[in-house]
Amino acid sequence: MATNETSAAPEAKKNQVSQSYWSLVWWKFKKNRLAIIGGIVVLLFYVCCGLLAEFVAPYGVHTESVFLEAPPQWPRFRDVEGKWHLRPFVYGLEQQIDTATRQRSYVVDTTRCYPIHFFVKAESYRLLGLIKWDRHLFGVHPDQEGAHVYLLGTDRLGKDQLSRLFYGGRISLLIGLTGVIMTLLFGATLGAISGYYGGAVDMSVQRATEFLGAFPDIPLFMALASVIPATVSPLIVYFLLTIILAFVRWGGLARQVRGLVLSLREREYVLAAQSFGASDRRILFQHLIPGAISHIIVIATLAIPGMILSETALSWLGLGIRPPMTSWGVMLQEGGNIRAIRYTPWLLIPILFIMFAVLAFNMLGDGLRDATDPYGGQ
Amino acid sequence: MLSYLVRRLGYALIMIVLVSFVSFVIIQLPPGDYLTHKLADLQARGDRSAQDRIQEYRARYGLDEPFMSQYWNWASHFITGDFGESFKYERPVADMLGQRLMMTVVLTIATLAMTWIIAIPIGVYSATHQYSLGDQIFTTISFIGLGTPSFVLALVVLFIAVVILDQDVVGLFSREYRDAAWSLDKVVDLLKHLWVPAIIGAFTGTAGLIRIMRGNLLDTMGQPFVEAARARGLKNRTVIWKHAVRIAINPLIVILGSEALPTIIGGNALMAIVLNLPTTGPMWVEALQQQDMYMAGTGIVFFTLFLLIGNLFADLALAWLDPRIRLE
Amino acid sequence: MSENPVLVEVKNLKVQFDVRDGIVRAVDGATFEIKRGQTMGIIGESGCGKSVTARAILQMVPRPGKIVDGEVIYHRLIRSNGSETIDVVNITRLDPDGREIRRIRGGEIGMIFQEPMSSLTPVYTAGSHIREAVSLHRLMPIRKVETQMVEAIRAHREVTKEEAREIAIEMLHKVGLPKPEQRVDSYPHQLSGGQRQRVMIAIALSCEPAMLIADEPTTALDVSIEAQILDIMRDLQETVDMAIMFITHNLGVIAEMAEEICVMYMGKVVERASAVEVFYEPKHPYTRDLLKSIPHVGKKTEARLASIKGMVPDPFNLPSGCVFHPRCLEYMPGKCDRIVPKWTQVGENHWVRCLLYEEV
Repeated sequence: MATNETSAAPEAKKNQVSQSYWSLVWWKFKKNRLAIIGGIVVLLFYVCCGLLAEFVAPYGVHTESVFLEAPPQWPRFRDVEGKWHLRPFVYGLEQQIDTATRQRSYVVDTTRCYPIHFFVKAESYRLLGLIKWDRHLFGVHPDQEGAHVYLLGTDRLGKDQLSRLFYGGRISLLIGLTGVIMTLLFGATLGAISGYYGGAVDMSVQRATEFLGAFPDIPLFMALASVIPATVSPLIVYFLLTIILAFVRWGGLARQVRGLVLSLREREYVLAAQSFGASDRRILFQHLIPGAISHIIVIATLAIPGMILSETALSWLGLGIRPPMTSWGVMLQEGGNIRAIRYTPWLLIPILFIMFAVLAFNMLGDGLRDATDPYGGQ
Repeated sequence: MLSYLVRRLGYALIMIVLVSFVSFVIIQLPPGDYLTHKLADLQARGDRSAQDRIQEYRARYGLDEPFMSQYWNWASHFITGDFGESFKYERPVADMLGQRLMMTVVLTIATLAMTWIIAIPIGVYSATHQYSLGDQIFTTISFIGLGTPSFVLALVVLFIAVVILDQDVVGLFSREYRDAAWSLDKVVDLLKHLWVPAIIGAFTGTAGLIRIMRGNLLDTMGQPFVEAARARGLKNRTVIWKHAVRIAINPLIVILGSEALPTIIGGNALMAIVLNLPTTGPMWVEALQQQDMYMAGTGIVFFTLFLLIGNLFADLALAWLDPRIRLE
Repeated sequence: MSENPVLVEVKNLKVQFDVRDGIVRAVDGATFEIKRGQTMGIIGESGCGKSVTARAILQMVPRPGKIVDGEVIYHRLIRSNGSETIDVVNITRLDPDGREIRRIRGGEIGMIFQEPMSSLTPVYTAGSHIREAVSLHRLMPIRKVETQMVEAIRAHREVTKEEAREIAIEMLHKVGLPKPEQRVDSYPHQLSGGQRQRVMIAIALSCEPAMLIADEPTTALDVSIEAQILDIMRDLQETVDMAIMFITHNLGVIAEMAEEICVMYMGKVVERASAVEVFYEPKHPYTRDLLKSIPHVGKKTEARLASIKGMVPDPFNLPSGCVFHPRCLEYMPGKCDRIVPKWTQVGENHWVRCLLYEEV
């Protein structure tokens, strides 16, 4: 009697069965290069802007200067005489005001050379709100008089654009995240209730969702945003804004969660009808619930860019985040008009950051969706 | 079929009434109203008689009256076609919107046409040449497009035009033709300017449509009837277009319906603001910002109206195209 | 055994799939012949390569599969001016998207599939399917009566719309569809599974092909419907003298339909003989196991349902020597795991691929 079955086959099968759902997802995800890049970029954004903004940014978010609307200073390694330096540096800017037109312009002053130092001591801050520190990733030497390094220029109040980009990113990215979480809570709860109870409850929630869906976004946003009193602190404005964004957008998520709950319910009943043994039900729960969670994760990841863009649009219209708090949308407001484009185009740079962030989220979300799809691939 | 239509229209009617009411409410939400803004404005300019003039307006527009009577006033006139008057321009809303309506419709049609003409072939190509270089390039461009809202793209285009090309691209007409009477030359001028906002407006939509077309077609091509068609000796092109795309495109028709008409009012308002286009969008957003009540409210109602009609058309079109749905 | 001339020859056909994890040899050296008017049955478990073989005959192997070796030769019969000639076409050399193969697909070799529920395009009626096929493949002869009252077929023209509809109704009637004049305008979702399969047969037949490839045509149908469909196929075969390549995993069905049977395992043909010989004198251990696994009604059953022991091997880790040896009841250690068996003749028209019949 033949007993030497090929040893490879059963072994491989055993490994497959013991591989949990999530490790399979991870294995599939790893293969998607775009998704990995997206994931890394998203992580970088949240770490640099969200957690370490104070460290990465050379200047504080509120730090004004006399250099109003100054153009970017390019970091160089080679000076005007052709000499190569090891340490990058920037040339200083000199303000000139045309007495006739009262126009301000800037000229690169090659006599003033400001080397860029790393881990430099500058304004103190509280890292993560807790640890008092004063080192910054890069900047000018604190002892150098009048030194300044505005790698991306300054705005109308002389604040460093690059620093504002990091701080603003914190707000924009956090609104994206918290907005989606809130939408999830809102929408998922409602969707689950709707799907689970069915009947009249389902109908009324459905109608409400449709009604909100039939309403155009912009007026809803505008009206709700403009209700926020002008005197309230920017932080509260931020919270209220997140709630408003979540409220307007819960419809889509609610619908998807409802669909999920319905299909889950269906499967459970089918299982009961086929009277599987208890252990099988456990295995299936091990697959069903992770499946539902994975769906929600994908939906959430792909919803974040939409949230960020909504906040950007609202703030650009002047209805969103209020100064002195800054977000990418607020920065766009300054740069997004014809005069600014003509004279201070560097104020448009937030667009690049926004696009990168959104692109990264989309790649990540797409990759997650492919990885968690049980029938995907060849 | 008839009962279905009647049901849908009845439902739409209820929805419109509800929306009109709610929109009225939310326009009034922010404290004060248009006249308080105007009052502050006039006073800032040193107008002494501002106070009295404002009182006059208030009485004329009935802004002192209770909310419900104001709403009823507006709603009852709405049905007869009188949408009220714009506070800012002091002209009937119907005139103001109507004036800009034609341009908006032209732009919307151009944008939609461009979206579909570009997206469908690319989507089909992407699906039939999956993972090829072309597919990867298009996929990347789609991602970028999906992440760039129209008004951001408009800003970028403006930047390129103004700073790099040193041109004046704003508006739909060159200076000479702006207020001129219609002539063939004016139409040509319009076409010359139209394609920029059309492409910008189409960009995001195209990106999304490409992904959807690609995804749908990939799913459809895996279905047995496609292989069966090929086994009957049909040309590859016939199999793809006459059988696969014919099925795969149905969900997109629904999208067309639900997105096409509403954009006539909303019309990519933010993009239009950036590019300074004479469409209904910017005017409507401005009315919302300034609480120009009747203008804003009318806009919202028409937006919803178009959305519902668009959905209805989309569903009817889908039933016409897909016999499986008809018999429900 | 048919003494008819050969219609399609498959010679040492090899089809490979290049997937991420390696190369799958879906068909590994299949050789058989189908004669005119004959029914050849191909039997085997799922994944043995029978469906891929069928598609290879029509150059329809799906990506990432490719024919890497072997040939498929089609002997096309051309009737002109009362005489017959054979045109030998090497299908494997034809461009998969070219006009030549498209002429053969549907027009000379038809194919029906396993899933009648989804093998018809949902938005086209039964009639339009037939019309589409007929417009593509059928040409109406333009007859001219000569002075000696002999019909001479001078030329061919394409079918008109009305004629196509007539043909459609006639075909639907032939496959036993009730009320064909109404059914011709039915959409697929308005028809039952059995009716759809009849429509598929009608479409295939409307082009008067020389051979019909039936890939598990009744697997998805009820037993009673299955019986009807098989009846139709047999009747039609007699009337139009059409060859059938019948692919299935169901021994009972193949016993009814086939005159000759090929047994496939892991991409190889392991036994080929007339149906009678396969059922009464099976030579290959796999064939014998297959036959044993058919439960017999009425027989005493203390024994469990017989099954072939072991599992189908991992395609990336094929056993050495004879691919069946790990599951073979007559395994000869030292031989079967080292030597690859050759195609050996064991009877007048009976071939096996097994070391039991080879001299090593």
